[in-house]
Amino acid sequence: MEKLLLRNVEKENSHTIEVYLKGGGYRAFQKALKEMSPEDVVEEVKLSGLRGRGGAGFPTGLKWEFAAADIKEPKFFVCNADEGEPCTFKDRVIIEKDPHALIEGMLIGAYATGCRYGYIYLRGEYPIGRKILERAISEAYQKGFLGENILGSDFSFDLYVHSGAGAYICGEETALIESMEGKRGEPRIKPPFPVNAGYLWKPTVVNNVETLANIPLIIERGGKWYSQIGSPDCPGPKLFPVSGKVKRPGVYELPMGTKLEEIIFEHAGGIVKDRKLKAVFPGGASSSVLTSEEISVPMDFPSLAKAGTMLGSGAIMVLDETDCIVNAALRLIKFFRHESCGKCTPCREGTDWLVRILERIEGGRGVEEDLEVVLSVCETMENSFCGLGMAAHNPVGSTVRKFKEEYLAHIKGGKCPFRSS
Amino acid sequence: MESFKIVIDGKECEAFAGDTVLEVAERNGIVIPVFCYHKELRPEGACRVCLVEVEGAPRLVTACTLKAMPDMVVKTNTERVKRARAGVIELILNNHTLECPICDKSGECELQMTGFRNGPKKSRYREKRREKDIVIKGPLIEIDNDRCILCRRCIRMCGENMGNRVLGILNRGYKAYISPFNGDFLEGGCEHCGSCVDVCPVGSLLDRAFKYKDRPWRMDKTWTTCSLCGSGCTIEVDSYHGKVKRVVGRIGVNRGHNKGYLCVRGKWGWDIIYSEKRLKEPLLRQGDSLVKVDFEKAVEVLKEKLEGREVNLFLESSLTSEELTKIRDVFGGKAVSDSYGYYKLLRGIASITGALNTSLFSSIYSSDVVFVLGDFIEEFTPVIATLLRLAVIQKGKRLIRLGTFPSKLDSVSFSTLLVPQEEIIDTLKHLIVGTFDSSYQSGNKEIDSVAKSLRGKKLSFVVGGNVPFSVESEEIGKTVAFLADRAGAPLVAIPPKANSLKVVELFDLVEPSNLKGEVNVLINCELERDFPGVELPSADFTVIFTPFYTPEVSQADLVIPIELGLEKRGTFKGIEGELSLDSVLETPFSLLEVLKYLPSKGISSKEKQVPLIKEPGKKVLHRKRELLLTVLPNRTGWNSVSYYSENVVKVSGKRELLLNSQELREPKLVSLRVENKELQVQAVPDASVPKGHALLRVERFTRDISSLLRGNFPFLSGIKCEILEA
Repeated sequence: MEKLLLRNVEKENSHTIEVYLKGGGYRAFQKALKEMSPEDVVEEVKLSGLRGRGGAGFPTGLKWEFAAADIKEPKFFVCNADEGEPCTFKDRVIIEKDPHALIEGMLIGAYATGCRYGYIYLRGEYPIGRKILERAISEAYQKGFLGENILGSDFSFDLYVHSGAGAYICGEETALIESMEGKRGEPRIKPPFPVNAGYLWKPTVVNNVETLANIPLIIERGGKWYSQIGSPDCPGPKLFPVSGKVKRPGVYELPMGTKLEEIIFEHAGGIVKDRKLKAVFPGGASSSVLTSEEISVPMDFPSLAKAGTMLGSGAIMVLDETDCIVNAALRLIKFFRHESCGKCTPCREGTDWLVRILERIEGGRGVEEDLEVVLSVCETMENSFCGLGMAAHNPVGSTVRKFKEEYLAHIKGGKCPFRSS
Repeated sequence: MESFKIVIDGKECEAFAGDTVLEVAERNGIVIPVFCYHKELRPEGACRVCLVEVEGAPRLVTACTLKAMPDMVVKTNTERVKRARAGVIELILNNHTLECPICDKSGECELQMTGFRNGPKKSRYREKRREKDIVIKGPLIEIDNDRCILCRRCIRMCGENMGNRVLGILNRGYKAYISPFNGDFLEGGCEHCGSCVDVCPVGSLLDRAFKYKDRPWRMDKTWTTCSLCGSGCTIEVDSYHGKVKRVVGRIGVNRGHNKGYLCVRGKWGWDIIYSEKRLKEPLLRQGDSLVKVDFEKAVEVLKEKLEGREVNLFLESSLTSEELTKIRDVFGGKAVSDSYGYYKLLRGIASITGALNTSLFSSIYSSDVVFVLGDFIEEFTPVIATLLRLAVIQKGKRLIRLGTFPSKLDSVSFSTLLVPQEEIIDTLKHLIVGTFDSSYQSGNKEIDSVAKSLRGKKLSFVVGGNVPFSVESEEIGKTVAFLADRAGAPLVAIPPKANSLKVVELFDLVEPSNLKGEVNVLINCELERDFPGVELPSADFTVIFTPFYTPEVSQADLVIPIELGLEKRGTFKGIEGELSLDSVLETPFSLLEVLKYLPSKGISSKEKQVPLIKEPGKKVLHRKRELLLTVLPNRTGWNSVSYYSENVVKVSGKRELLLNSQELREPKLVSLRVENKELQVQAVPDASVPKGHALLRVERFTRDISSLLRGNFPFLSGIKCEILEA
């Protein structure tokens, strides 16, 4: 199939504006600016059916429509490039290999929503990405795609890179905004939503890197064309970072709705040493686990929700028969304990309790009642303040439900069966 | 405002736009447990205990953040809600220390009560308790993070309501803890208002003066009025067996106009009652020394000495109205008082309004724009400054301030006009015209823009801080009253002392030089503190009524001990009408008791008349090359607390002379000269002091400062001075 999002990444010096322009870059932006009104752009994106690629899957066109309708000035356009979840590395490809696609997407979005200033909130651990983005932005300024009265129009847009300081919570859009304001990165109460009261309490659009990389394609080829790619109710190409026990880990661009089985066994080459597949986390570290019987599910928002898990960032994590599921769940919940901001009780205390219970079980000191406690703590954590806490328990709760036998083996055997000693 | 109905637990409740479900439930007697929510604070949604079920919503929602919508159906006591609540409380309790027997909060702890009512009945926690052994001790406040439930009330109180931003969270997740900036309260800029301690639901933020002192459930709780400044705050005094253990404000519960907010003096100054300098028996001069005598003897001498003689009366203004009435009855109506400057301000106002009085403070709440005139309101009457701040952030009032020095209030003010002190009256006059005439141009853009924001709005005026002590107080009074009168707006003149209004009402206040009596009578005052720059007139006999061994005691012929504010019953005439004092403390001495034995002079009361002039005031301050000096008693140094409270002394400021950083490059010792008097003092450059002004911050009025100010009473501000090399 034709590469869309990754169309430029194989080219030499793909991060420079010359290469990008040669490949037809900034044509979509010029088309939007010269031939379309902001309303037309919003309509086109709505028509495309594009849904946010950050994890929540909110329709992008709708978000833009809300922001465009707000009368407060100035408005801000923020790109969420705080890609911090374990095993998620899809945005990095775009940031490092095709930064101009991101900038072009932001320009079109800013034009459509009337934003004057833009920020790329970049993950603190992407120093190379920062250099590449800053270089790309200065190139775009030189070519007149950024700045005041862009290409002789009334549209002005300034773009800056803002580096995070390493907190995963700052990928949550309101925490990201707090962090940009120089405060402690913690989620805000919603409503009001950022589109109405975001950065400095002004209307702020927050879009994911991959979402924005889709925008030039939609404008250039039309929303109708885009809406016919992949699953009908959430169309488009999607980047799937595949990691774990597969033969060819990496980022794969495939249409939405590609079967999980196909991704693992055809594109990623199957399981290492042709072992048996044991479990898959289909949507990043905070998704519920799928067993080897469940992998025929199409990878899109509604299908995965129906299967009791979620697409999230689309990061696929594969475990094989030699992996201990308790240890895997423990590693993931430890990550969330470390990254919980501590604002709300369920996430702050729940993650710690889960870690302590799982550590005990993995160390062979668990009791059977622990499993019941784990499930009830998971239920309490559903009432967390933000998405981090609401999803953090998923890898633990789902593994306890689906791999109960393995947990019981730890408890009854008094040790982890996957360890030799 | 239009209301609508929502249904909570089957009960139809009235709600208004902007109400949260929790507020509606509270009004209707439906209790929803919660920790992070506090009536006076912005909702946070952090503790997740106030979860409720809303029809149509898939998830449980926190009632504290959920805005009521018409026809909403809410359930607060379903099995699902109860289980979720107990689950969250279980998480809080898992690692909570079991220090209840020695925790100061025990008995009034919200975690105890909520845990009892809504918590799980059995622990499932098999892990070792996670200790958070981080105790941060300040001079008066202590944070015990092991007891903290991270509800963040203290942070919002300190940062948003008080505007200090001393407290914050360090670290992340389960390791998060509360700390002042840099771990140091004083360095962090803590004002020790005690509000964080007041709102802490558990025993994490502690009052160090109360720590391990008593149990909340067995103390006598008495509501009274603080007598330490003109704010007239309602406070709760907790005592056991007649001994005061602590003072609390009870923010959100307190029904006084201060809403429970206190300052360092009110919260921690109570220990002056137990000061070592407290006078316990009457003293009578015999030759060169003072000897102890009994009450009968003291009264006998007093009666004999007063018989047929005219009295030089020196009055401090935190006496109760009952005491003041009796004092006038016994000693006559002529007095020198520390409210003299305030009297001048009121006289200026009365020349426009006809009444020596002030509007009620609460009148600002029915206006849209509050015009504040004066500097250092947060030092003279700290709680008034807090209430002005809250009027902005809670009630959405616009605050406009005119003054000379920057203030903490400026961070919430809509606009701030800072002009040199000698231009205050001229600025007001520009506003008098500009506020009513849109074509008027003052030649100063800032003044014009302030005039524009006053135009056509419902206004109220507040005058306070250093204005009563300004050389121009009477003229400023006239001018601002003229403006308020034209706008038809209330004018609140903040009294500097608790009962200044009553003193002004009852007494003919005179210049000290007008006293020609034969007997000096000093009541509750300290000469240097209350009358800086005034010498005791020579007289045949000097009698001092005082609670403490004051420096004047050595000059006295007779000294009679009296009680302190917290030991009195009675009333004050305050900015919110009559304020009452109550006490369960017993003292062996009482001012009223002594006065009872003295013969009445039978002075009949008559309303004071001030001639109506209806003209704005005239500029008094003219200067050439001199600096204008303001002597500012620090927040901790404004009152007897800085002299006699061991608590407050721990956080007291220091004496320093602040000068504009362009006029003084680096700190050095200088000589401050007023007329022909000089004072050696450490001068410090400070960018916030405007050019041409000098600010002398003092912790105590000592003899040297008093002599520097000789002849200036009652003024502390706008005094011409020079700075010489030391």
